[in-house]
Amino acid sequence: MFIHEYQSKELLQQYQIPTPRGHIFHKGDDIDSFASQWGNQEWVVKSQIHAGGRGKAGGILVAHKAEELASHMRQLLGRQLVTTQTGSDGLPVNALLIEKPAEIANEIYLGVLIDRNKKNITLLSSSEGGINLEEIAARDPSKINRAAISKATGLQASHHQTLVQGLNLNQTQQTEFNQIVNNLYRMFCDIDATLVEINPLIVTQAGVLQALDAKINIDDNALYRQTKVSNLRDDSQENAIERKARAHDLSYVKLDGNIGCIVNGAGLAMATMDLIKHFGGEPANFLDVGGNTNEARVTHAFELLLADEVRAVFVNIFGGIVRCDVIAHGILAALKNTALEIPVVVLLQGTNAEQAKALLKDQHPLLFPVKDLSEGAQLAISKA
Amino acid sequence: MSILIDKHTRILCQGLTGSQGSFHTEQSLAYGSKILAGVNPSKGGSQHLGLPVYANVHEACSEQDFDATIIYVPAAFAADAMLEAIEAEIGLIVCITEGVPIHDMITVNEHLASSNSQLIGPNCPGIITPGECKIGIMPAAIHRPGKVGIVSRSGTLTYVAVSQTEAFGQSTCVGIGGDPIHGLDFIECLRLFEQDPQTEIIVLVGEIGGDAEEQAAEIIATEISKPIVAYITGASAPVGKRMGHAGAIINSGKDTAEQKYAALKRAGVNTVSTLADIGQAVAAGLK
Repeated sequence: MFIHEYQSKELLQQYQIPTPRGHIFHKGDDIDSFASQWGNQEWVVKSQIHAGGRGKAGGILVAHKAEELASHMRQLLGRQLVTTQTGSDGLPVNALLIEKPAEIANEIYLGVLIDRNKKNITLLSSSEGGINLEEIAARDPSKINRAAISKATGLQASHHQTLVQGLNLNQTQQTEFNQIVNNLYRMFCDIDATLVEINPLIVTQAGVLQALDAKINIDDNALYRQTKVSNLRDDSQENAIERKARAHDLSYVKLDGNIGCIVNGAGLAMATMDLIKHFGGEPANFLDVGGNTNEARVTHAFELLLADEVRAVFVNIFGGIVRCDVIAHGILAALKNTALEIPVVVLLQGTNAEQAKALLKDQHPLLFPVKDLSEGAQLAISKA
Repeated sequence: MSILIDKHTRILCQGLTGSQGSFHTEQSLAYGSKILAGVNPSKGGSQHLGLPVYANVHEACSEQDFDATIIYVPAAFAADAMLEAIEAEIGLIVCITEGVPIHDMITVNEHLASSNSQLIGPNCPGIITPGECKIGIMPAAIHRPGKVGIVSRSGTLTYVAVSQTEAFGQSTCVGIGGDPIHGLDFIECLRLFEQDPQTEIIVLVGEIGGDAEEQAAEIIATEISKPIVAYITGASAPVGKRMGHAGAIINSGKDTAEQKYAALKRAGVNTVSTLADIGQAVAAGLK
């Protein structure tokens, strides 16, 4: 799960990690009274969306006086901000973080992540803050300090020594930095984070360390025990269909194509998209109804796709534990609820596939049964 | 021969009395798997499906010997169940449970590293040696004893690979699971298949995210003499979106299907670009 920059900074503050002074402003609050109260100084107005690249896309503006502050706020709030990371529709700006401009003397990178290969928690630091980690690694990997932490023994003095190398901090700042590292690691574990980045962690001209930007991702699997953090979810940053899918326990990702896919199993769902693409088509979505699905989920999946203006649907089920006849009943139930106007190609293999085929036979002129994967993908493309 | 499990494997079931545990244990018993007992902290001393239920793994192990355990307990308790099995020194731990928090898996792996236990999963279909032993939730009927070893990150794709290799049968099929941090990886399974005389060809089914396939490629060139057919799913997946499996996400642009195919090809693996081609490639590889 992603959270906003302002929410990340609130979490950092709870862990005694300093951030710039600022205000959070939500859509619907009174812009003019805010601007007249605070506008007699310089502010950075930052759009809050779940994507990076905001600055280059015009989502971060600087205001010097009250009128300018109000006009920037009007310009950004309620807008769909398109950045290199959002896709063509962009994401809605429903909140602004309005911060005091930072007086930067030095920019540092500090991050905590889960290293999949080494199966541990790794802390990273670099003197080259302000640009993303991949870029630092591409330019000069020796500029990245890495410290792998054991959950059992936690942070050690040697980790601090590793992380502080090459950051050009004086003695007081090093002590501050070590404290920030301690608190950040504690927060990372407490909130079941999968990634926390403070980039940049700045040294101000007054010589103080401050988290100027922050990014926190939380493990979806742990949300059941992170009620406080899961309340930070912002539904407006999610596609409407993705939101509906989640409510029905369907794993769904929207794509740009026109062929809808309903598949059981995440691997097979990806493979089905790949196959459509292989034969020159464009999948409209990833949709996994689950390895242990039921009739209702299949019906919901169908209704979801039909609402998404797809031109054809490819149903690809490999019945294992899931019985194909259950899937067939789900399809039939969906056909009762919705007037089907687009072709639906159906491939059912495995457990009870023959029964399922008999159930679907002649039930609708737009249902097209197929015998194998390639035939199914090609037929769906030709019908779309 | 086979890898990891055979007809003699003695199995414990953690979470036997739940609906998943009950259903799949019945299926596995019908297949001939030697599931000998179950564990449920609040039902110790009772019987379920004709099997004794113990209050914890330690108690079960003091009464009987087990080579393997299968875990069906809910995600919130799965790490505890794995740790219990590691502490009881059960050799093979198979965790089916989906949705285990990643921080829990780091803890489990720290304990695993200093033990002699091996873990399959979590978030996996389990492992089957056709005709001998099934520890998992895969549909038994599609498998035949034979010469193809299958290792896969995805459940349903394992079944598809099995059905496409029906003519040759399978030695053992291992679903290593779709989570970013899991137990056995491709490398360990490839090495085991290399040692197994029954296995003549290996099918590797990978997916986007992480670099398990690239790491496998590094040892394939030097250590694996048997032919390998590889398919990677997720070539059409967008960057930064989690595709169902917690581990199936392109994070850096380096963990794409394209990169994985390239690494495997360099190692001499016969890669197939669609799922539908696995069967033919295996047939060709066995000639």
